[in-house]
Amino acid sequence: MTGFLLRRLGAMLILLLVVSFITFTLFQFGPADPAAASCGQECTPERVEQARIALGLDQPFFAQYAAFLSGLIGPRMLGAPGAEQVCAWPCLGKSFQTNENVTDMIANALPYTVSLTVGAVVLWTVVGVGLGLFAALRKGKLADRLIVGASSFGVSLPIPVTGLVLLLVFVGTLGWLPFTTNEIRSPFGEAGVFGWITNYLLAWVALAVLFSAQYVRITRNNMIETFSEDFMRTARAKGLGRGTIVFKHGVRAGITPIVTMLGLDLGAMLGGAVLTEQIFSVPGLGFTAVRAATSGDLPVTMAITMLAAFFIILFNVIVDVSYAFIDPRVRVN
Amino acid sequence: MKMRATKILAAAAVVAFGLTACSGAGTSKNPAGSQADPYAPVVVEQGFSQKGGTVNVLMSSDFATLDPGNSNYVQTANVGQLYYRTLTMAKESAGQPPEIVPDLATDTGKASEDGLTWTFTLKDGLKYEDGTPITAQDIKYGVERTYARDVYTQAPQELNSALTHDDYKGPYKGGDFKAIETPDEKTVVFHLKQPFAEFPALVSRSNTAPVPEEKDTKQDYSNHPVSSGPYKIKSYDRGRELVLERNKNWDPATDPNRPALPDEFHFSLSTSQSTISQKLISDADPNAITLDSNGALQASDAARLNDEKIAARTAGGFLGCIDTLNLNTESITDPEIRKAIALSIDRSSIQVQYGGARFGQLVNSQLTEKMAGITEQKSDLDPAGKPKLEEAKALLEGKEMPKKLVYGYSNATERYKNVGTVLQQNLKELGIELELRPIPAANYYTTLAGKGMPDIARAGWCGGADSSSARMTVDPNLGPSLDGKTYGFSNIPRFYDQDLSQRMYELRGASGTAEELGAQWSQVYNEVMATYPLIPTIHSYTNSVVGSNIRNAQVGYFFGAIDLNSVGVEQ
Repeated sequence: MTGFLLRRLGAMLILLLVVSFITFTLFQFGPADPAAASCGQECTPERVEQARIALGLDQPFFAQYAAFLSGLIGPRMLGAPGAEQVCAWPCLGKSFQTNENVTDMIANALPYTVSLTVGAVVLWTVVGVGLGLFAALRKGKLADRLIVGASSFGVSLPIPVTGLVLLLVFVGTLGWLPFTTNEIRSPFGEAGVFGWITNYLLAWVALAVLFSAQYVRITRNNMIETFSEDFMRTARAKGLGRGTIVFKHGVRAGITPIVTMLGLDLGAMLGGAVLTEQIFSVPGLGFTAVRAATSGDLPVTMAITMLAAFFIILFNVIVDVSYAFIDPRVRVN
Repeated sequence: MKMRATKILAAAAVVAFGLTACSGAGTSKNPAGSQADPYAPVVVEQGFSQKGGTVNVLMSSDFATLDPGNSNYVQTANVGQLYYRTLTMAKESAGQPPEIVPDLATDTGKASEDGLTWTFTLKDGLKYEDGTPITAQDIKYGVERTYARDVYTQAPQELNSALTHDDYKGPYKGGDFKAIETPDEKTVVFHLKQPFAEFPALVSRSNTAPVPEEKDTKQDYSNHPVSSGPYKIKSYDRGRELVLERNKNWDPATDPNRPALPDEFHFSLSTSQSTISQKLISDADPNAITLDSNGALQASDAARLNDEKIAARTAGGFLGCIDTLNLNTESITDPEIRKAIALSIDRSSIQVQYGGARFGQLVNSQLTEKMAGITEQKSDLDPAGKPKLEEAKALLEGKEMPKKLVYGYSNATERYKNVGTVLQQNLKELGIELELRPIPAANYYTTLAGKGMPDIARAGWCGGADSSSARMTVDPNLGPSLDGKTYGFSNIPRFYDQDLSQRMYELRGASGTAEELGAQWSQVYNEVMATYPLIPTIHSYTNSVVGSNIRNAQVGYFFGAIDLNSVGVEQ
């Protein structure tokens, strides 16, 4: 197990390095010039060059990339000659647009994204897997058809539609829930657990409508397949109770593809739910990433891309390890 | 100052057709019920003077900066008037260009006989938030910082371009700045390259906000600029919340321009535009306003804006921004072909793309009646914006026509692409094929200033430091370079005519009253426009819904949003 984890950790670091290099390269050769973007409408060519110095973009490509990597190892100096500032470790640079320390920006944005992710994942997993299992047990009956039909509808609803309709109905018209506020980052603040839930509930529901539908379908199909396996017939022949057959033998064997999907979705969500965060005014990583990408803010884009990649790789490893605990047929090697 | 017209008008793109239907009468947005002028300014609950309370300002994003020395944004200028003062101030009143009034200085400055030196004297009793006195040296240091352009990429440059000693590199490596003298703690003397009649307007810009040298934290100054105004920063959580509270060391006796009514301003800096508009329209927060462009209005809000109760809470007014379609005079060299193109364009369809008449008036000139001394502007463009195809075709008879032209647009704004589609259809009538070329929004204006300038490109201009001066619109848009030998840097059509450009060059240093100078500039503008280097389209009008407790809410002509200086809140 230790060897497996060490190998995966090494692979993770290499992959992160590759992701950072690709992002950096794409940005360098993209159509937008961050130096010109930072000085605007009345920016003379001379001022663009001065901005290029201020942002450190006058350095050769590999020197810029090496400077970025050096910030991941120790502190580095940033800024124009004569006005340099120390950027403490871990230094992901400073925003080209606002001069904020990117590490601080990430640290500020992450709790919002975690709040959004945790609630949404719990909701869509419980609803999606629960309904999928129920539909599998009622295969071909009315309940099954209704659930499958509803999931087809849910999966086809884009977040902007669901999100705006939910806001309009439950906040704007009925007033049952408050407008989302950026003052609530976690359930441990002044607002408490109830305030946290009411603040994020509609965003969770919007995400759950989309994701539950996918989980319903994959759970249902997978469980139907598992229920028809030989070992399930054996379990029934042995006279085991229905609950034991379904949950101890069926679900345990059929859940692995769902865990895989959950791991990938969780990793992707932690990288920032771009549309949901925009619509529900959640200033998380997705919200920050959109601002950065549209304004040519390289350091912020780099940091969020790397963090998103980190989460996806991390959850892949977790999923791999979890297989061994869920399904006794799998051994980590 | 760059107004970012692209951003200011951007939200109207989503409003589009939905609001067109309710654009006609204008009665609903004018509580007075006047049907005569749908573009009359509307101030919500004018005449309020009660102090106290908190105004909640909803915004979809953080201020780019709060540092007056690194600020080229109208949003920063709007909030800035709460925490910094300048030698003079551009004081807003709805529907009118701001009035230039004394602020830190006792008057709007005294020019020397040759017009090359301007002297300002500071008022008595001026203090920073920590109680230390504001000195002439602090004003000078504030200006000096804006020369460190390799540190402050957004440093405002309008004032700097008028001063001598262009080679100054800023206080961090440039030493003393000879273009400004401070013979004592109260006197600031500016030396100019050539006379500049509108100089009092130039020193209203944030360059002249005082910065104490010992408190200069360089790029981090944005996190807590030292206040010289009625409010100071209580807390600032970047990207999320900014709270301003009263500055007890601000003396209202020195500042007749700022009523400073609320006790606090709370800025929420990450609220989506759809949430902002819903909150404002439903009056979920009676103390709320927004600084987002077009009042953060969404297409779905169209019908509700006509509701009488909501209309009574909707401030409205022109902002200084006028959009134009610029014709590249280096690629379309024949003025008659440019005129034919101008006449063929259906500007009324372009207005629809801007959201309809509610969001802007069709104009035939960039000069407005609000500008001092302007003369009658002649134009063959149809005032209703309809194309004059026959006239256009007649102009092209016997001409060697361009078969293909390129229209460049900012790729972040769907509306500007749609404008291109209108142009495509119009120019097809003249036998011209139009290619639509997207340009990255972040680099849009530098592309137009460089080799990538297409044949036709949209641009917006918001009046510069003094939108009551014709010069501040004509010179940057159509004037020559600093030496007068070619076209100016921000002259997007690249207009240069030996005679007319020379006249503009000479007019820069001319002296006279605002009316006399305005008349001369508008005269030369009229002659330039007869060659159709650009086609004026829309003069922007902003609607902004406010909470039911908000008073004195007016749309600033310069800010294009609710003026934070005048607003108050009923408790």
